[in-house]
Amino acid sequence: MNADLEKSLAEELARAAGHAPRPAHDLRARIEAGHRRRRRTGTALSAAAVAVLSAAVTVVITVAVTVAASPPVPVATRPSPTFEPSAPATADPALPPVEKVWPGALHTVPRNLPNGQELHPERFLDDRSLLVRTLDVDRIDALWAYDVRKRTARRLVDVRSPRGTVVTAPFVAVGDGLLAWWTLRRERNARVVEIWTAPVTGGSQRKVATLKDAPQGIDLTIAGGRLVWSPWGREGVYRMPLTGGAAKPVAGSAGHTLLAWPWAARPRPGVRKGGNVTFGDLVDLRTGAREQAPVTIGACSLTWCVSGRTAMRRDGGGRRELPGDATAGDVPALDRFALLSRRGADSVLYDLAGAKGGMLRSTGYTPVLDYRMPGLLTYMRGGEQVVVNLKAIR
Amino acid sequence: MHDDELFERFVTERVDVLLRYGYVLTGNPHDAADLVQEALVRLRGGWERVRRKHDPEAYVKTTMSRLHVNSWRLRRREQVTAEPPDRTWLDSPYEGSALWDTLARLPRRQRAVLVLRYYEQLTDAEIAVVLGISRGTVRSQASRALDKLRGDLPAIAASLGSKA
Repeated sequence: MNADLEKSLAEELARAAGHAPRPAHDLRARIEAGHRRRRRTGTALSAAAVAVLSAAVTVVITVAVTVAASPPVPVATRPSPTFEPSAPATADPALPPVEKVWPGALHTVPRNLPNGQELHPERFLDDRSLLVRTLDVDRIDALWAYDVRKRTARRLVDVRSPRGTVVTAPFVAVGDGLLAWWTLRRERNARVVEIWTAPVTGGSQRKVATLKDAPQGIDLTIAGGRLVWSPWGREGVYRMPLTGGAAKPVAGSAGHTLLAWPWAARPRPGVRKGGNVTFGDLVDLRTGAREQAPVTIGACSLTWCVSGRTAMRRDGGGRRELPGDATAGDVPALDRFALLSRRGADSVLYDLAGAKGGMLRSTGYTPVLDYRMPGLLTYMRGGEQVVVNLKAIR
Repeated sequence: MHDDELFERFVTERVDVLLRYGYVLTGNPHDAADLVQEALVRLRGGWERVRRKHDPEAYVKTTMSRLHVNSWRLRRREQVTAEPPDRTWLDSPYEGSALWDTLARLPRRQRAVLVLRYYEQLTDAEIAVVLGISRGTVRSQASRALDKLRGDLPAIAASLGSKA
């Protein structure tokens, strides 16, 4: 996931750069005018501006020295971004497509609801009801139950976010008859996360918690009759009753991040301190039992560890070669699925438990599989979106 | 070659590269143009010295990065500026993906760190020098920015897909 995001970022920035403005025809005259104005008003320049300028001068010396060893490729000569992979030495052997491997797990849903809003699949509530969200720009606007057989949608919750909300939860938690999500806003320069619930059968939202001095967001689940979460960018696992109350740190969770209740692990994704294996050290928060990873690099879920083209169980058994490369740092989703990239443009959805994989024929960008995603993989094919119900794969 | 001619040549040859950098840094063609212009004005004032001692392009990019992160436009609007905004800067605005939109909501410094890392391909140590902050701050800013982008992941994934 990290590497995917980083790759997307690099591609997006390079693509955007192609839309930069052209220089003004009188740029040279403008520079001269600015130069003269600056000389005239030089003494009136704000101290801050001078500080910035002189700091920049000092700093460049070091940059020049540092960069001299390996000069950055000038932007102008950098190859334009492309989605064509470099020519493979040998192509990976073909695998059957996912629709052949797991026909019962695939559903096709439209891109938009009849009202025109884009439909974003979230998770399956049962065999045929798909929880979907619609967005107002990037915030949750409503939650719906989409019937994949009848192809109809029923509005479950009108989501109302507090004024000033900047982020809403990327994943909706489900459990104990409830839907739960969070919103993030700023209040007097401090971040505030609010947690909301609504009945899974539909109804009004209810605010159950306000977390002050909050992180940028939380990974929220419902487990054991409680709300359980880990803060983004920090560690620890916290919980509170579904009806609200005081947030309490779970004993023994310090330094760890929620993986799947009752398991927490460290180091969290994107953090190298504490080892090169994402979620390599596992702890059962109920019993305090601990387990280590059998590998020195890679990423682990509860049962599986992947690294490059190899996977094995945490107990060291079940070692297998993968038909593609696992994205570095990606934790297997639902404790068994990995998205592999291959020579050529294909990606492969691979089931570590069943030791089978199917090729994804996405007509859009490479899909993303995140361990926090509640059991779905979605990608575009033609004008529709394909939803793979990972929980339906036995 | 005379100093003025060398400056002229540098501007002619590198202005496109600088505008590209300004555009990914600010996400806005007007801001990009203003930033490049201001940085070139400052380079013009110190051209002889800079040319002899440094890489002028790195100098300009560093000036642009710092001006932007330090909310230069905000201060500048309080000063008197001679030129009204110029429409000729506007070329073809980028109708980017959700990822591009999400970048626009990052604080300036976080965005600058991502741009230096993933567009300029600088190491964290180099970024620390350009922005005048510690390596630890570079890492934490990058990590926060990535977390925030990751937070919008379903929207990003869906919108990237829909661009097929």
